[in-house]
Amino acid sequence: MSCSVEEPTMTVAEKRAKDRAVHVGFCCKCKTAKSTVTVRYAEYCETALRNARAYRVITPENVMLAFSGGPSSRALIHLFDVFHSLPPEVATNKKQPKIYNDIHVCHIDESCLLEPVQDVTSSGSTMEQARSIAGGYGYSFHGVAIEDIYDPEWTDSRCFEAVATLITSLPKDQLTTSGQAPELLSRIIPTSVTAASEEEAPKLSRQEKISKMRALLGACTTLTAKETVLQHFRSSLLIQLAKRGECTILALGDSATRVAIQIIELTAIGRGYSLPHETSLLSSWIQDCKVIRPLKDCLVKELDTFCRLNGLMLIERHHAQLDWTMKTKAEVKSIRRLTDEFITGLDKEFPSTVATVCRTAAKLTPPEATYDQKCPLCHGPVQDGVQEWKRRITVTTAPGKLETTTTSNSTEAKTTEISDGCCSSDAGGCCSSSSSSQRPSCTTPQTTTVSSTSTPFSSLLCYGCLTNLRDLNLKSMASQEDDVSSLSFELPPYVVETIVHRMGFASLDEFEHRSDGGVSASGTAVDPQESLRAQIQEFLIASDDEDE
Amino acid sequence: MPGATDIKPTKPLKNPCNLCQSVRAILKRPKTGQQLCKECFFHVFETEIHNTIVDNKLFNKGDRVAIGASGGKDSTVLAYVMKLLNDRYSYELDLVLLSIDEGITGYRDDSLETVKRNRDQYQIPLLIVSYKDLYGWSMDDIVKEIGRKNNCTFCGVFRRQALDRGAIMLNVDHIVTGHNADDIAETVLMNILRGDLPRLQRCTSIITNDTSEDSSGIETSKILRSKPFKYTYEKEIVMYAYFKKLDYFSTECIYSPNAYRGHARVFLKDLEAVRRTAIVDIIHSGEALSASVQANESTKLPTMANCTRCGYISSNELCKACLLLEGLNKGLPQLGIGHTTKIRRMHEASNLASGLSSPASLSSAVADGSAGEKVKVVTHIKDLGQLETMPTLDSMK
Ligand SMILES: [Zn+2]
Ligand SMILES: [Zn+2]
Ligand SMILES: [Zn+2]
Ligand SMILES: [Zn+2]
Repeated sequence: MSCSVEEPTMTVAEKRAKDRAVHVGFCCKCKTAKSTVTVRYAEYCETALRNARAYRVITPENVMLAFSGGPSSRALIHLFDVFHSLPPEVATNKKQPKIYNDIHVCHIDESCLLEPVQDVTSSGSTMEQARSIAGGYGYSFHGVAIEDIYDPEWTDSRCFEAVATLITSLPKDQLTTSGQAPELLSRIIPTSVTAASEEEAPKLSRQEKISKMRALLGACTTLTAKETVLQHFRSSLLIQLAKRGECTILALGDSATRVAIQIIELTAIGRGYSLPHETSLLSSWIQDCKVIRPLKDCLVKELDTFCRLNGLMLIERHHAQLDWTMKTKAEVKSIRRLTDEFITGLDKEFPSTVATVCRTAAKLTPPEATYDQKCPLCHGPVQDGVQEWKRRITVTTAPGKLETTTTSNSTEAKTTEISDGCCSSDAGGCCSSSSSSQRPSCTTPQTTTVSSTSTPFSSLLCYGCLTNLRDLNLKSMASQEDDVSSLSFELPPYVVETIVHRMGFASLDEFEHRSDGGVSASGTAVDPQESLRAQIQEFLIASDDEDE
Repeated sequence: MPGATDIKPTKPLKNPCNLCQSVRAILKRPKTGQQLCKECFFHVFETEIHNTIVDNKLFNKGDRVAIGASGGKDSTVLAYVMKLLNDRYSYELDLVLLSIDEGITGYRDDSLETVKRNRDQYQIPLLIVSYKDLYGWSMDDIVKEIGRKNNCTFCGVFRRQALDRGAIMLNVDHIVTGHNADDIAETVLMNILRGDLPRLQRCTSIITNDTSEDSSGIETSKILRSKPFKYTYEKEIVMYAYFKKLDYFSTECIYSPNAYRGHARVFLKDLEAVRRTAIVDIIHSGEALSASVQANESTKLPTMANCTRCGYISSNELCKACLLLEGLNKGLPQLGIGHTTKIRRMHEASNLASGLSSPASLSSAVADGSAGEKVKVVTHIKDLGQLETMPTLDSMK
């Protein structure tokens, strides 16, 4: 490439600066001597090429560029353009065949979460700006609004007409006194109009979708939980966008800085298992859609500069702001924000921090897990036995109940088998029934009344989501004896779709038919009595918390 | 106001314990936020440690186990709980206390008094081994020599070996240490930040055993170390000690840890404040990441052999302790810190001549730290006076 020519009279310091510059993708000449924009392009091209090489394929694939409106993803679009209109000396290099076929750009409009006003006019919409930026490059544009996560269309089957509500296995009055973590179950609520008039099924209005999403975010008691759930929504929509654009590659604009922060954040929120997938240069976890992070070597500062130097237009307010959803001052810090400050601060003092952290994670091998067994909420890999792991290291049974749970492992295994009646199978979630079955609250009658309508939830989740949903306000959930109408928030269709698949049903129809039979249908179904296991009680305590 | 006045309260208690519902709650559990009574807190605290011990099969019946005891809260509670669980669940362990005297005036001498009281209170035998006896240098000596910077490097390296040597003297199979969940979570973060994959892989394992590949290694390699407090929150250890009125020494080591680790610690506390499960969540992540490393980087771990001078396990000819000692004794203490390549090269060059000091040999240490038949060779350029007190090459030769 044009930039790799070495300057003959470089000092050691200059050389080092150059090495570093090359590493992060900046043209050495731009740093040591002011040079032309074209030269800078070429160096960037090299970065793009270098990162692209890994996925060079015989048949060129379509790529979807995820564009949020911020500098990194803005730079991503520009770099892809530069890459496809290379300076002659690069473009004519026959050893670098065309990698991408069509380039598409997509954008998620989060304007409905910018401020508290429930304003559905598209005044704050970012969609048109994004569309025109993509249009400027001649790329096809695909947009979706974040609230469309509640649209049955934005699922794998493209028409999954059901939402779900969460219910707790314990009656509410017991929840408040025990401080215990109840098992969360889901109850699937079909949204299609009762079979008859399929032609004109009333579509959800935008306002309705926004309310549903706000209700879910409102049920999260911490900013961390809100941000994490929202991030899962974004990922789900991006994958859907890529698939709809018939792209087999989704390119994200994550910078090195972003990735380093993510690595620490994911670790802190218990997502170490999926971390390699969520931060790697190339992840093949998602079926039929590779995810790449071509800017993973560039610092965010440099991408900022790149945008500025090239006069690239950004979208001012593009990211959902959740501060307005906070009810107390204690909530304003999230794990993401803390991590952001931590890494940024540390990187000032120890400038290699970002690079080191990225390098660490780059050497990790993703876990071997089955995509079919993905977590309903984040679609990440799920580890076995996470609930049991939690239960063993955080005991939540009273001393009297001690004997059976703690005598020994083998005794406990037996107890579990005996205490059946409630355990439909060996589903991982059932193991704690030895303790729960002793609780007076868990009486057998409840089982029969609910089993036909309850579907598992906690037991299907990955560790990270299990942890995150501990920050759900239990008071906003129905318990088993309540009827569904008292629910206060719903899980979107894409989540329900995975729940149904994980239970072994091919479709919603199949699920409805079989569960009409009344018997607890599936092998993975969790006993509805499952309770008192993990510890979801923080917010309960928090409500009468003044004494700390 | 309804209160817990009657023996059989018919009215609901004000603020009842979340677990037993029958006694008023007096504390809020740091790990879960539950409001508990004292007895229920003791119960969950002890049971979790018991679960950790049982699930990880830490011990076999009849094991002789040394409790690394510093007199601080972690190890005091550890000694108390180990004895309690050993009795309650009939582990049938033969427990002993093992303390290291680093020779830090105003810190260790006082805390050792605490350990001695623990010995009497819990009726567990105690052995104290000192840096001075093992290495010829107390921490005070070292600080005098090198200043306050980096002395925790010495402290850490020396302590690790000293514990093993003490364990050999005590003829134990296993050392339990008071590392708690906060320590482990912090180490996970540190290792990611430092990019230390081999350590990231190992730091979450509850039992470590630095066995060398060849089984002909010295006894040290057979000694297991484990952390029964792996999932126990530091705050709960303090709480437990407080409510049990345990006698511990609360002053932190006066030679403080490095800045980088300090940042990680503050960050961890911030995380915990935002989400109280963050500590176990990080450990969970660390365990998952450890599996991800395995497939990939673990082969890069150096193969372990034994230190040619003292016999301790080491990936190099000289173990880190001997290397640090060589630096100290040559008056170039900084050389052993951080990048050790320089001093290793130095060491090779000087070809270690005749008699640099090294940790007292196992046999002589076991004997009595004897001042008997040592040959003193003066290699120290800066301070001849100090050299006089140094033990020297040992009977292993
Ligand atoms: Zn998940
Ligand atoms: Zn109680
Ligand atoms: Zn120290
Ligand atoms: Zn040695």
